[in-house]
Formats: sequence, structure tokens, C-alpha cells
Amino acid sequence: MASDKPLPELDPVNSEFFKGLSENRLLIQKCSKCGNLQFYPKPICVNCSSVELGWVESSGEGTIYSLTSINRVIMNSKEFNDEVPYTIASIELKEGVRLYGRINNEGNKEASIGDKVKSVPVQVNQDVGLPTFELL
Amino acid sequence: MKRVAVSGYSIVKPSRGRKDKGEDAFTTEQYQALALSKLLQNTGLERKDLETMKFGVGLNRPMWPHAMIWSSEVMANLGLSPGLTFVSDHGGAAAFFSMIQAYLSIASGRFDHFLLIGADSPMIPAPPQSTHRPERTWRYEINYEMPIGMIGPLSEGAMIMKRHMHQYGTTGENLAEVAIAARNHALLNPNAYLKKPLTVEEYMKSPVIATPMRVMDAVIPVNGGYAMLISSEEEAGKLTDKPVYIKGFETALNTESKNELRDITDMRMKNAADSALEQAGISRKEVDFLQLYDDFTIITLMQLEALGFAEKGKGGKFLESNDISFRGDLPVNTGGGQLSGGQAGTAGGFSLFVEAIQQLRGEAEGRQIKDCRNGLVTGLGGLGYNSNLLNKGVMALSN
Repeated sequence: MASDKPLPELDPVNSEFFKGLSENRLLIQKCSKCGNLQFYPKPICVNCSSVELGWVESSGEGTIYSLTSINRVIMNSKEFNDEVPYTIASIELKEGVRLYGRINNEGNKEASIGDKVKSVPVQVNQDVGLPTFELL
Repeated sequence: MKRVAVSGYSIVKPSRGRKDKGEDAFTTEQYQALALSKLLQNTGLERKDLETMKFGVGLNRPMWPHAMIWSSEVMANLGLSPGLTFVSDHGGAAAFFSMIQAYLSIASGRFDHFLLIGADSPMIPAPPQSTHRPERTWRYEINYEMPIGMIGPLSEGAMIMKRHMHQYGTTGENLAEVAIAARNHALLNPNAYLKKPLTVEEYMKSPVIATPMRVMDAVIPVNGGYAMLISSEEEAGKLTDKPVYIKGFETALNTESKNELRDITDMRMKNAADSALEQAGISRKEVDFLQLYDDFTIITLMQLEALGFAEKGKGGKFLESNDISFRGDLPVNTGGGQLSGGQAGTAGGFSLFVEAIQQLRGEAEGRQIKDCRNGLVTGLGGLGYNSNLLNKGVMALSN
């Protein structure tokens, strides 16, 4: 049976990001005019209002800024119940933006604020990967 | 600019739609109708008065049912022909932003009255778009949160709470204080939903949904409806001898738009509070109560800091040494807030305004603050991505 888990709704602004993850690359939107990095991908540079935006590949290295362990699934697919408890973290990338991702910490120590992580995206299909990190 | 006052209000008792418990099970449209009907009764306005009044209508944009209820449809349902309508899509801050739009419309002299109706019925689910997407319309939530298994505002709020605890040593006991103070007030408010006393032990035993967030740290969702009539000072005088004046307000919208590394524990509402107090001509010492938008216990605590009543990071300490009950040195959420009074979807913020109005009219019965003259009410809405609330504001009300 096909998965009931929600997928991102791809559009011209975000598809490159999800495609990148499917190919094991973590892309960050970068303004071609002022060089500002921003996340999540937006249709304009929030710093200088230029609509000329490109991408840079992140080193994938970051630090946990905050996190939560989900014990009970509400307002999302019931399929996530099979995975509880699972950890979601706000990752501060070395490049200076934050994003949410899953922490893949099977068999490892419990994740904490300040822990170093690296990007290990999970491919869902040929167009979509999801941000996932593991503790270093 | 004309002086503007709240000239009347109504509350439809909240419910969780439990017919098996003998509770009402009304739709959002019914709550809108009931709120209007009660407001007419409470103000003594006749239906025919509405035919000649220069008035407008403001509505919240409810989360339920799943489809938009257009303002024109609501006017058709209610049989109203106002001179202007608007819908506030500010989420939890709908009441706050509606108050501002009403104020500006009346202060300009173009309208004598604005009728604000807040209604929502999250506990009467309409058929959702799919099994797990009950009208979640934030694009960032759909694209960057749900696919990785986040569970909406609870998971965003949990990360704010975790970070505040990490940075400042805030404890579960501190947050239990917020939850218990709210519950104690709810016990004294006939329109609050939760009626069972709460102890620290019960708080500590309540299930952790998303660490460190417990069930008792979050609002109790209810169905409910409220109406407020906002009028020019002159017109308010014809309807009531207890007008409540809008004395000052300031917004704080998307305050750190360029900062990717913003401190999510900082609500950044100090300037808004300073401005609202200055317009009202009062100091923090003259504030008799705070009605703080409380989606989570940590948000109440963070606002005590952000509004300048507690030092940054010392909200927990503040709660240990101050009494926030209606008899205390700084009464907070005297009606039980949304934590214990109930959150009627995007109309939840209305409950904080009607509590402020009741206190300033001397109608708060068993929880009445003595010699109550001035209060602050906040509006918050839209938990952002890696952020705290995007829509924020502070309003000063006085009798």
C-alpha cells in the first residue's frame, strides 16, 4: 500500500531544494545580488528584495539549536506512530541558517542542544528527499 | 481622532461538542449567530437600530470548517448590511488585529460602531481535505514540517520551550505555576471550560506529547463564540455607562525578518508595550492586569519577560516571587486564559479581551480585581518557521 505520509508540495521555488536532498545534497538558497543565505526557500531575497536567487551546497555540518522528541502523533499521518518516539531538531548549519530535520540517532546517545551533526538526507522518490541528520 | 470604546460584549459558553455529556454541539455559523443575538440582548440594541447605524463588521477567519466562510456569506447568514466588512487572518491574534481595524475605522469618523464577531468550532470537525490535513494552510508547515513528522504548533512550541529551559534554566515547576494560576482563575469563571483543580503533581504526571511539552502546557481546544461592539465615545455613552476605552496599541509583525539566527526565546514585544503604555499615559506600575495570549505556558512566561515585567530569562524566577492571581501583585489571565478557559480556534484571543472588559466593567464576579482601572491585552498568532509568533501586539484598555 502506498504511504499516507505527507510529501512537500513542489513548486518552482522549492523543487530544487527537495531534488537536491534526493541526490544527497543539502542546498541553501543564496541571493545572487547581495549574497544573503536564507531558509526556507522564498520567492525573493528577504534581505535586499532581489528576485535573482540561486543555490549553494551546504557542507551539511551543523549544531543542534533546539529539539523535541515526538511521543504522540496528532495532526499528521498515523503512519508516524510506528516511529515514535522520534527526534526533530532545529539545526544551525555552519553556513548560518537554521532548518528543521529528523535526527537519525538509532543506537546512538540521546541528542542534546549543542551536539554536532551532519546531513544524511533520506530519499523518498526521484524528486524528493527529506532533511535528516545524524550525530557526529 | 475620536476616542473609541468597547460599548458591549457577549460570550457564548464554550463547549467541546460532547453531546454524550449534554454539551452543546454548534457550528461556527451558529456561534456567530448566537454571539450576535446575545450582544443585542446585552446592549439593548434593537434589530431595527442596525438598519440605521453607521457600522462595520469584523470577523476572524476560522480554521474550521475546512472551507473558507466568506464574509459575504456570513452577512447573508446573519442578515446584516454593514458599510464595511473585513476578515482577520491573523490566527490567534485575530481579536487583537480586529480591534485595531475597528479603532481606526471609528477614530477616522467614518463609522460609529464596529461589530466584531469571533467564532470557531474546532471540535465540530468538517470533512477534512484528507485524513491527516485538517486545513493546515501554512505553506512552510506543509512543505518543511509535516513531511518530517512534526505535529504542528505543539512541536514548534516544544522547541521554543526546550531552548528557554536550556538558556535560562526555566523548569517544569515554573510552567506548572502558569498552568495552575490559569486553572484557579478558570474555577472562578463561569465561562471557562476546565473546572477541575490542578496540582503541581498532576501537572508533572500529565503526558509529554513532544518533549518537554506536556498536555498541561497546551490549551484546551473548545468551540465558542464572542462578540464585541466597538463604538465612538459619543455613541458608546448612549449604550452603556461602563465604556472600556482603547487607550493605546502597537503591533510587532515579523520582527526579525532578516535574521536567520534569531533567538526564538525572545518575543521582542518591549517596544510595542512601551508604545501602548505611553499612548495610554500609564506606567507598568499602574497596570492592574495582563491578559496574555497563552497558546502554551512557556509563551505566557516569555511575554512577562518581553513586555518588561520580568527580566529577560528571569520569567521563572518572577513566577517564584510574584503572585499572578487576581488578588496578587500582577494578575495574569484572570479568566483562566486559553490554557484552562479554552481556545476557540482562531477566536481564542477574544476570550482574553472579554475578560479584560469584564474586569474593567467590574463584572468579573468572584475573580474581580479590586480598583481595576488599566490593563494590557496581547494578541499573538502564527507560529513561524524557526521563529516564535509572527503576529504580535499589545493593547492598553482603561475604564
